[in-house]
Amino acid sequence: MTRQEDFRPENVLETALTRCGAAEVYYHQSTSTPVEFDANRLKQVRTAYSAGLALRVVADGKIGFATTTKPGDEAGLVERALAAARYGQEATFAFPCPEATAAGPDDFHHRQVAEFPLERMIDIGRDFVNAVIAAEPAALAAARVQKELKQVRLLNSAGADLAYRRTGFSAFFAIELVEQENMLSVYEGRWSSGYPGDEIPALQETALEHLRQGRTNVPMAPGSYPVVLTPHAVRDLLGPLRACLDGSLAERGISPWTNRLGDPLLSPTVTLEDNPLLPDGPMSAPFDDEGLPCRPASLIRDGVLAGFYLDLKSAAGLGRRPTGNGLRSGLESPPAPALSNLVLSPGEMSWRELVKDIDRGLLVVHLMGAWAGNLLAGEVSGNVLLGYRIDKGEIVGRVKDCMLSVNAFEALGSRLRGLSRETGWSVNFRLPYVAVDEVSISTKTG
Amino acid sequence: MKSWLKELVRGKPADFVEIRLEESMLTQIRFMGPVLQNIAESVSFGGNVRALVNGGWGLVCFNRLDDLEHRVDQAIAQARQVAALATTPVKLAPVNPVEDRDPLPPGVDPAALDLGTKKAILDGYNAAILSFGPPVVSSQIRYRDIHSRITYVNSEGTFIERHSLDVAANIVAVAMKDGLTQFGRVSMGDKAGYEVLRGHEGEVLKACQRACEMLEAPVVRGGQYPVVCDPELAGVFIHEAFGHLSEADNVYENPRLQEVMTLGRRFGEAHLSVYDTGLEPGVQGYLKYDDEGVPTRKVYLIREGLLVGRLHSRETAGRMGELPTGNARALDYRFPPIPRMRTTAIEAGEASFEDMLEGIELGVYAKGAYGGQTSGEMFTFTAEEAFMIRHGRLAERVRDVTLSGNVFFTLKNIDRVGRDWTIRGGAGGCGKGEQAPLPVSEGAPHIRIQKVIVGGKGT
Repeated sequence: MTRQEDFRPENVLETALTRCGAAEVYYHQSTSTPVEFDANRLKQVRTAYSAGLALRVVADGKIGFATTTKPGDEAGLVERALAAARYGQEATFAFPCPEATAAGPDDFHHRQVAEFPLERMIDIGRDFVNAVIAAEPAALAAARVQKELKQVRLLNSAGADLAYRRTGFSAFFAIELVEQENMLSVYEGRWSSGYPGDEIPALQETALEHLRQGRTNVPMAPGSYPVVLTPHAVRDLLGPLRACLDGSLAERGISPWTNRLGDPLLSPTVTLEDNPLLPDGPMSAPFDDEGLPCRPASLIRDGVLAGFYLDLKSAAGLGRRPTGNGLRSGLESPPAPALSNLVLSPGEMSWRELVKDIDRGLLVVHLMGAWAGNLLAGEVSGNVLLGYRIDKGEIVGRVKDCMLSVNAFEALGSRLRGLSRETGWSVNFRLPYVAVDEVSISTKTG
Repeated sequence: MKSWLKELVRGKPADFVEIRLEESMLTQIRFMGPVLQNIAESVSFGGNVRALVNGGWGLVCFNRLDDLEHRVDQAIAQARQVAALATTPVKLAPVNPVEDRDPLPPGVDPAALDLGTKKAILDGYNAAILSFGPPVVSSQIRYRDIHSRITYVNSEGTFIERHSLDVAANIVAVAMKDGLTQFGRVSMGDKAGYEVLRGHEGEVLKACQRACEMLEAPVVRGGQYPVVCDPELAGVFIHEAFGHLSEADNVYENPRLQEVMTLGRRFGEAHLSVYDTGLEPGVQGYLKYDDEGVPTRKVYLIREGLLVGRLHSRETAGRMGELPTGNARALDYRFPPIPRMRTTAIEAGEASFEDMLEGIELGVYAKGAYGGQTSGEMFTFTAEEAFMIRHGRLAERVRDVTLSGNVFFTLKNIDRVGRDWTIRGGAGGCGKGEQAPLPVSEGAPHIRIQKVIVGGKGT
């Protein structure tokens, strides 16, 4: 076990402050254990320990940043941060003083996950493999069941000395079936800070349902159709919103929504909130990676732009209060605006009713490559990796070799048909199904 | 160190044990408009032990060395736990043990440029974009270089010390008009030192002009078109269209896919040859040894239209009775090596650019690549810019061109292979599962593909 004594964050802060006016030390430690099944068999068990320090300094009014995972490198860390500060940007914000947090340091540390035995993780994967083989002996199942224990400590020269622990549990299931030149791959997964045991059977059942449903291919003429997107595909549809609501893009004026606070931009049924305090949210935390208390941030309220998600720097640039969204995407990355648990409010109909309402259209389960478009222009365009043709409200078969293109601002605006009352998690987003009118579908035509 | 490490893996109760130790220095510089968002140097230090026991793998990753012996035991214990459930034996393809060093090429010095000089070069590009004038309103620049020293030892007697330096940057001009944002991009990356960073002034100005022109371009009309790809997009195309499917971990335990991917099967016309190599000096993907200590070699995937090879780790080659290729790569010490691409290329053919356009009544000329993705037989790739082709000539600019294909017909639909050829790395890298971005490069000429599905409005 890597111990915290490997790194002494207090000493780093103290040393740094002998050389500069302000500093922040972030200490991160994690132990993760993934259990991996592939091609119907258990293949690998891993244990990954990692620990490291990130230091931000403000020297002569300028910011420098450096990180290390090497025990004993504390002095080098301080030197590198100070060297970077010589060329760094002027500090436009101050490190925050400690404030009361809404959640405690162990609120997202779930004992059930911390004590979850490896044998049971293996059982979860093996049960899935057995269920897949029983349903279709020619199919190949893969599963990845992982738990993580994470500790964070943050100290700064404004007096903050904060710590929390968080557990993580994820279960990811995939099936692949090859029938001559026809491949079907389906996957489902759930990431949580708690143990999502109750939801695992449903995830497995959904994957098996796609295995049954996805075996018949049907043609579809190119055209403009109503579609229903599952939560996984809705995640892609939200790509443009994620970009437009990013405080660092708003601060630079690159977001087309920069000066639109208070404007109705989307359908009044769209309400979007980032909620870092959900008890089982995979990204829940009492404070963000800059030491600010986490709290829910309203982004879109009834279709109206309510706010951006902000770190210290973008908040200072926009003259707004930071929202506690200064997160690090890895130890080597400085804090930047990022979402914790994004929640799109559900609607009133069931997703099956949304499908029933469609005379001829498409149910889109998974999109592929839809992240690569021009998100700030709202464009979402991807291959329909798994999608079904809907005829008179019924799913009739899988549509392959098909591209979906939609403008997210229109899809969540004038073309929005409805949101389902059921929600599902797609990594750190909790989303309903979304039905949209007039979506462009390009297909193979001979 | 060497004898200590060799001792640690010798005579253990396991079929195979390996240790990887790694220390790297990462420099990152990031601008958003005039603001220097980040300038940082990071030291990363760690290692892993991987053990194979009776068909089960155990892997332990760590940051400290003082209890390495215990880590070896732990990896073996985990492998045993897997072995208890294992039904299939794992036989690694035999490789001759080797003791070697792979230093940086002569003249390549990771300390050659200090932080201030790197920043000054990027300052120049940034100033060029920011002074271009409306509608160019901002810039985004991401730079990273990473110098790694890796020590590898295994229980068969292999001991390798290797160094690598990877330098990559992405320079983007941002144009805005009436709420629409468009980009023009210059991307670069290689393993031959810092020179790749200099001399892009002309390309940066062109990227600014492109961003402006894209503001006026309509969104492409979706449909099925003949598409001419420039070498950069053709490279990403072959990476997505065939490279990933050639990674043998997809195939080696999938009997039905093996039937479909039988060596000798036709995937393209006789003018199509595709290979993957670790031996292209100076470019991203260069590797003398892979992360299992296997010497890399050039492997043809498609030769004159026929499937002739695939990308192996020792496990996949051993299972399939094929020769190892040196494609087992790990992003860093936190991950196990898995089959990955290195430099993947389409060999040049004979067609001129005029031949490409010939006979196309309505088509798309797509240039540059924002990225791509693949799953099974279907794949996507997104162009950076595009023009319509009308009556055999280049016509108006269009935007938002995302293309999609299927390995079972799109490769056969390549009906022209150009005689020009370009190799390119970049800042993006390749992602597979949790391991991204892995430095890779692609080589290709212009190619023409019939019946490509293009996403877009107004279908």
